[in-house]
Amino acid sequence: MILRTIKNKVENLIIFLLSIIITIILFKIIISFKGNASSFIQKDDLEGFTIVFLSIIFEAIPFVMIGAFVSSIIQIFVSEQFIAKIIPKSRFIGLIAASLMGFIFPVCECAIVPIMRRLIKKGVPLHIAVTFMLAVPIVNPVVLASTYYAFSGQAYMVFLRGILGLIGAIIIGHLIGKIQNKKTPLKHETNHEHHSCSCGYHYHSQQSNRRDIVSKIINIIQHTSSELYNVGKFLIIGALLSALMQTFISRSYILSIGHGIVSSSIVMMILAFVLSLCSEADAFIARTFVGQFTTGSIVGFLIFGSMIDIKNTLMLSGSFKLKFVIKLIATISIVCFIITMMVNIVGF
Amino acid sequence: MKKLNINELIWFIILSSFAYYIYKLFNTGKIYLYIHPRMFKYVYFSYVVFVILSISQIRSIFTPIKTNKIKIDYIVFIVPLFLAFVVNPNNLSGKVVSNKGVNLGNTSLKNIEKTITNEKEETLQSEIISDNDTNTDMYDDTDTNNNMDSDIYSESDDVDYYHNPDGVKFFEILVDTNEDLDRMLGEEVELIGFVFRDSDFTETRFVVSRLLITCCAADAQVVGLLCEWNESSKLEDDEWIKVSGIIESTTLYNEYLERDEILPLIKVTKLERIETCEDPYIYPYYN
Repeated sequence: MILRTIKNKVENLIIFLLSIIITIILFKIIISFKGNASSFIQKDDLEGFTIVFLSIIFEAIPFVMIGAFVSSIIQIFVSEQFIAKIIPKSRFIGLIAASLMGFIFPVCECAIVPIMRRLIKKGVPLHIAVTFMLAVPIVNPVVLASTYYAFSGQAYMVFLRGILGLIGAIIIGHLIGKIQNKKTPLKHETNHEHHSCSCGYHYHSQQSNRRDIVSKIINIIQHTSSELYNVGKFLIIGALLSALMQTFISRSYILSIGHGIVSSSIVMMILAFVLSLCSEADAFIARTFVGQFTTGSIVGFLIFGSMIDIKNTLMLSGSFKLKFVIKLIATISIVCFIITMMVNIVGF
Repeated sequence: MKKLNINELIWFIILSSFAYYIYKLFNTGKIYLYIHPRMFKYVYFSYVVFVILSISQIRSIFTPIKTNKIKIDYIVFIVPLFLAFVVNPNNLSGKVVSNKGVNLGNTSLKNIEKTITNEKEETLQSEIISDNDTNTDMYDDTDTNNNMDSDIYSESDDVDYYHNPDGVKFFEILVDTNEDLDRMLGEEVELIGFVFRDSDFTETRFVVSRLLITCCAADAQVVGLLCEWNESSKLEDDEWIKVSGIIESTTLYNEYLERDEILPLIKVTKLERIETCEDPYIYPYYN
């Protein structure tokens, strides 16, 4: 019996290693075609793609780690009862409080998904968690400061981004709460990979002595590790998609689609979604569009891009039901679009 | 003997390879290809976390096995590692980046210049020791006195403010010509960059260009100055060159703004092919 399992393991390992070697050989072949017009992937393209892909990962992973870490701390130190106690009874006050959390909790959008998921598991109402997730990456001192710099001191851009982002997040949180009602947005725990993930932290948390600091630290580390695994894979897939699009679809092509008030807003929102830039960096990119696009569509880029993008969508779909993710993205898009159009009509 | 938990072992290998790769990037200086120096501290942080996680993972390698199957999801983590080690990229070509937009110096660069002076102002204020008394007065009216500021800015180059001096020079000339082309007309400049050509360029024209990074390689843009040289057709795309020439101006149709635009143009007097530059990028917003 034991022998068989070991044999099984060895077999699996061999298959695994073999597949790696085969892929390496395949890549070597592709690379050796460099400069050859007959190969459809050029070395330049492959190198460029790799750099863009890895740079998105390197840029985002520290923040995902922070998110995973905070989420582990919440898991271990914050009890459901405590959360139930501090959540305001009034829906409206709760939403406003959630939207302002960014000031005391400055994380960008890469870190927010694991935290938000943990909060929902701990019993935070959905509308508050969603508002929190959408507002924190926008209303956050670091992001607002980088926006200020990028737009070289045009303070109204910071106000537009901050205030409209807040309003948008509150509206979306409220709507999503109403739409989803009491149904859980989370995937069924039993189907979730989490359980087959053999990090063993459930085991530890039962065993550990509450006062034992060392075991708590180990607990947090292992938790962070498993959280990184869960979120990291979706981050990587998101980065891969984004890098693919950036390398092979020309930006000027996307931009050439629209110049009207409506179409430019849509184009900028699509661009924000595709580029998957960190909310701390996107203002510097948005700045390069000043003069080519309306202020409204640039605000749309700044708000929508921080709320949702490819990598966030994938990270969300890792732990939430697909139907919920679609509803959420649809609501975010519609609300952001309306805000964008309002800015366009009022005119700045 | 304890049994090996393969899944945990693979996760350990993944974590430690990430740590190793980041270490290698810093060691070889290739990290400059990926991330703006401003972001280095975060990458260091992720390196430390990877190391901690790998060490703690060693313990788990011998935990009881719950499932026999190897988790297919690990492939996702192996893909980037795999690309990193196998492709081991050395440069980001202008052609790839040009997909994301080329900037021959239109309005948007002006904003960069202002940002630079603002940030420069901050760093100088924080380093009071290096600040001369005579300078401090000038910083009060940044907006009205842009030219003055950029002069001061270039004086303090000896401070190791940027990674690469060539890039700094390139960026300064770029900003100066954008800020006040009239003042720069007729001046002789020397630029180091790579050759970039758009499909609609005439035969004698090319752009001596650099990649501008604001955060990470994903936001790279091609920036540069248009050059005119009779033997341009002999140049290959992405070839590194040292251009000397005199600044003039020309008009080019801008398809976004849908009107002609006045752009700086360098009449090349001397051109030299050089080896691929170690630091292909320029990094504004250093802080």
